[in-house]
Amino acid sequence: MAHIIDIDGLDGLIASLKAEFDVIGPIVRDGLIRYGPIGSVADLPRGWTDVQEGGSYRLEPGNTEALFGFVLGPDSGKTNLFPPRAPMWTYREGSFSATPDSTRPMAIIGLRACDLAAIAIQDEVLLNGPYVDSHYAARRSQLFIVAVNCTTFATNCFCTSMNTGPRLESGFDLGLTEVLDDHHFVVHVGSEAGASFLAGLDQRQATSDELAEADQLIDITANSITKRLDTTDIAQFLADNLESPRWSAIAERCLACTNCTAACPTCFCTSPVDTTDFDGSAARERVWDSCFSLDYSYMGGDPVRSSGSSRYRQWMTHKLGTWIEQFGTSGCVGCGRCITWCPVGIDITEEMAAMRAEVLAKEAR
Amino acid sequence: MDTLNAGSVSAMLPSAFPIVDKDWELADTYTLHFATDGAFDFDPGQMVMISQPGVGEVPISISSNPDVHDRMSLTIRGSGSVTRALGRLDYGDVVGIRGPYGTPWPLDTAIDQDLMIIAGGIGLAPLRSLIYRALARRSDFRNLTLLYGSRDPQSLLFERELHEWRGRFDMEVEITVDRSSPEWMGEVGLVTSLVDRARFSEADAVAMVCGPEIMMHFVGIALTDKGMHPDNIFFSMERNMKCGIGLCGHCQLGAEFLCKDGPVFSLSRIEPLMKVEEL
Amino acid sequence: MSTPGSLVDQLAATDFFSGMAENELELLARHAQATEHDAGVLILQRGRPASGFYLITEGRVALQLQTSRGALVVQTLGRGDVLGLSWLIAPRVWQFSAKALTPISSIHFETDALLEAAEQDVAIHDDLVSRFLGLMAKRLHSTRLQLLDLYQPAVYQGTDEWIR
Repeated sequence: MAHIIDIDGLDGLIASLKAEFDVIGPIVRDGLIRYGPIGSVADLPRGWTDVQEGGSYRLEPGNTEALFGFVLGPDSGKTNLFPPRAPMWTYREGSFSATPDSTRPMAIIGLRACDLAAIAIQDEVLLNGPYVDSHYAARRSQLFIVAVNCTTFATNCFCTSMNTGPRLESGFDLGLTEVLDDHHFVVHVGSEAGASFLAGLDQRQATSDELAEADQLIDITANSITKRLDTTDIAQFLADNLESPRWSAIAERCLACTNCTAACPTCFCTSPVDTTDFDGSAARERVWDSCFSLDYSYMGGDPVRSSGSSRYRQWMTHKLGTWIEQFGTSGCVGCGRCITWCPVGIDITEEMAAMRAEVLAKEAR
Repeated sequence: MDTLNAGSVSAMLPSAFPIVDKDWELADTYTLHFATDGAFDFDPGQMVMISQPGVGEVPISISSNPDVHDRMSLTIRGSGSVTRALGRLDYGDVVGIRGPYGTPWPLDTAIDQDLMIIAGGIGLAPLRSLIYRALARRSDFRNLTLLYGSRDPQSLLFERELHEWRGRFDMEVEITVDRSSPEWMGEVGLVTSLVDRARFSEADAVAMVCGPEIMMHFVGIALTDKGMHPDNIFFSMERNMKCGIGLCGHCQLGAEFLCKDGPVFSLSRIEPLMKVEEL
Repeated sequence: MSTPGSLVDQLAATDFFSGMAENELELLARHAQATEHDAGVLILQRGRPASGFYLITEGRVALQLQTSRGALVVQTLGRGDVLGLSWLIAPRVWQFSAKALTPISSIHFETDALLEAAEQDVAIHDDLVSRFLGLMAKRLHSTRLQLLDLYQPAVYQGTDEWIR
């Protein structure tokens, strides 16, 4: 069962969410789609679309009035749920106290199926192990998600290979499909909280034709995505090829800039950073770190992974391989951000295919 | 005073502990002692995260007797900025401690077996708490042997304990140095030479090894050459650790998070990963 | 003194001679003799012509060099270890002195006669040489690892003064 709201209905939803949440959604900033505070539908990137290639991202005026006619920018759920800097504790006069998170409960509008898959993966890492990241847990437990089905795609998308999209399956409170003919949204309810917000809106039940039309838009998107990642026995394949010459070939191009780990919606590595004040107090934050940085692996004064190839290998074998053993799923959702935001356009799907081809060629000899 | 154990609002929040005593072990190695009032239980092989506020946090294995419940000691070599800063602290200074974390030495696997404890350099520190525990349960094991390799006679850690253990009738202690001095009357040679000479029943022995990774690698070879099964050889592994609880990502080696899946692993589990450079 | 028969069994049970063919063990046993040294005795002297080797059955021996800093020990040997390699390699001169740190029981092998006999049998000669080659490789390997100074931490990269 699904419902129909129009643009005013969406505006009403934002207004009612604002009473309980800080409402965050896609906005145009710095020439990009970013996620930031929004007050109404007017803040959404109406008419904009994004053009992505390996190593390039460009925002262009589209030829429609779509509010969600773009695919994704560098931000994801991680940007707000697991922010680049988070306070941990302060130390004053001989005792430590946890620094409270000053943020109100958040409602995030606009997340895509791959973003929801990424949140589920971060949940597994940060909430479901023997220890919990309390900062993430607090933000996550009060989160309201209005997700959006993808009715457009970018060249770097490969969610269909990772079984994460483009259709919303779960993990949202409300799920929207934007339909431009007679501009409206088909709304799926994913939770009781979602149902109660929907009930307060000017909405009606969707007809089967409306449902089929929305569904077809998602099917077209799914069928349009041509980028593939072959995940067959991928963990074992990578474990068997830790000493492939391909790693060095990638490292010749990789700048170890850490863009991919920053843009990746599942990368979770952090380091603590301490600061001191004149009054003798001290504070610790955790900040995003990256397995591409040299001091990431420092041990007793020397890095364990000094070569670029070993650092790229760590990232890719973890993301696509060892993650499965650790957390039960791949660490990759196929969003393509690491390809778009790589300054030299290294493409994880191409590298994976090249490594498989090299192994096949070797076996054939 | 705060209690040390977890259970606070955040697993990353340390408890404040004043230093109650400090010993210099070597020119660059010191032991900090903390009063724990019975509130801190650990098993040999486990570690804590110790913080100096404003400086940073490091993982340190516990070196004290696990069956003495009012005290906990950490033996630390000043090798990086945090461990050097901690070395400047003294009686009364407050540090933050979280833990204990990680897997302990699997001492029960050595019941009715020969127990070989093999240390290299500072690796004796986490093994000292194991030796205390093993001696407390001495009748559980057959032969108990400590093999200890050190750089030179001046770098021997815990000399008082080494003398004491050497004097026991129920424990073999063999010590070797890589470089001798004219006064040194003991063994000279790689620690693996002690393994070659040691008397133990290969089929009914368990080895627990801690030292630099390369040293452990070659000790593993010497033990398996003698006929020991890799399932019965245990290493304590080390990597950069920032959280100690599997959340920060730094300490991964293959699919293992050394902090929560380790630091103690059997050779059979860790050997394939140790063979890949820069993993 | 051991009879040749029991000596063959004794040799076969050592790591160094393990897996050796019966006829080779018998040859070795014919040129072997159990020996004893008191503590403090110089068993081998650096610079002297090298002949014979010992298989230590009990006690500890130091391989050492006399220097201006006193006698520096490069390696200690014990039960099951072979003492004496230089007899096999030109110029057949002992490279280090060997001092008994404790009373020593060992089996001494007379190598001149042994080599002469082994030259009549290529298989025996090759086996003997390859065992000594393996031992030398092992000692070289250990020495290299000792040179790496593995127990020392990496050089500190920071700028602060270490106050101790």
